[in-house]
Amino acid sequence: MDSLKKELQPESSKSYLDPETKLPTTKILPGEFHIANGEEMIVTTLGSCICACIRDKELGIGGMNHFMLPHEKSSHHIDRKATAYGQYAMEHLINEILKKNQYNRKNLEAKIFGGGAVVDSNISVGDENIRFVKTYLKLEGIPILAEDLGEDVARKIYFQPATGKVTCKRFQAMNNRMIEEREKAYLENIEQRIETEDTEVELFS
Amino acid sequence: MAKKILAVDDSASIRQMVTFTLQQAGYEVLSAEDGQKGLSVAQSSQADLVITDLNMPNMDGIELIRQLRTLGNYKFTPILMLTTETDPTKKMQGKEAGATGWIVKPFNPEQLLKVIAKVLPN
Repeated sequence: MDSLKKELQPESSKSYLDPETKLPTTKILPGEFHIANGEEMIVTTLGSCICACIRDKELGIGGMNHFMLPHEKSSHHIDRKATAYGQYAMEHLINEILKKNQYNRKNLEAKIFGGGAVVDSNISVGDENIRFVKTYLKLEGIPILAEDLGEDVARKIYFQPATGKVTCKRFQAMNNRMIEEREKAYLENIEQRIETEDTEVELFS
Repeated sequence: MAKKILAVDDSASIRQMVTFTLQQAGYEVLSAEDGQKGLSVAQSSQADLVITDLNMPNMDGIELIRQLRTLGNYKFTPILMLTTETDPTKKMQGKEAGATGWIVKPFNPEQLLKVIAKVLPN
């Protein structure tokens, strides 16, 4: 019951002391990312979404994101707008790490998880997301040290950037409608946003 | 003749995306991975417009704009910042350095082209 209660806590109280490890822990939701402070652990629960755990291997500074590429409902097509959103989700996390490590990209390493066949299992949302994150990291020259991707499972990921340690707990997605519902709501929200929201532009003169 | 745009960003995937978007719209594109390299590309080949990221190694986007504005042939060239940064202080620094505009990522490729057309008329 404890863990279920935690799932239902509001966003404002998502930081807690993990009862097992006694480490300060921050939980992130779809569309969020977090940079760890010190020994802090970051945790998230994934269905079809992707989570990238990225850190500076020498300084132990890093963080985690949780995102999914939006796609056009009619064509199931990942277009450039969607790719731009995915790049943003990755770049935002990476930039915040780079600000703390003097822009030393060479020290970065990644572990990637998720992309399960959980949301919209008739189309390969998970596969598209997996392909995207792998292509992105390859292009950026960030090595992938570990991965657990795809299949018909949901995952709970614990990441401690200070040590680089990741724990991935797999469980049957079938029993977790909450994950599916939450990811669907997130997906609908970003799909609507990329269709209707203008890029923020300010011209100075 | 096709207008020439210099894109400066330390992320290879952003450079690729910006280059692809601009080339498809008929622009000639030069690119560089940080401010310092951007500055030397700009000096060896006159660009009609510069798009630059803010946070980069060696030389950041604001310093790049400052340096470009000291060069006679980049005094009036439109320079757009394309960044994940929304901090108003940084934005003010960009404006003071001589930026023409500030675009916040994630960018919509079509809207990027519209902004370019606005500041770089044919």
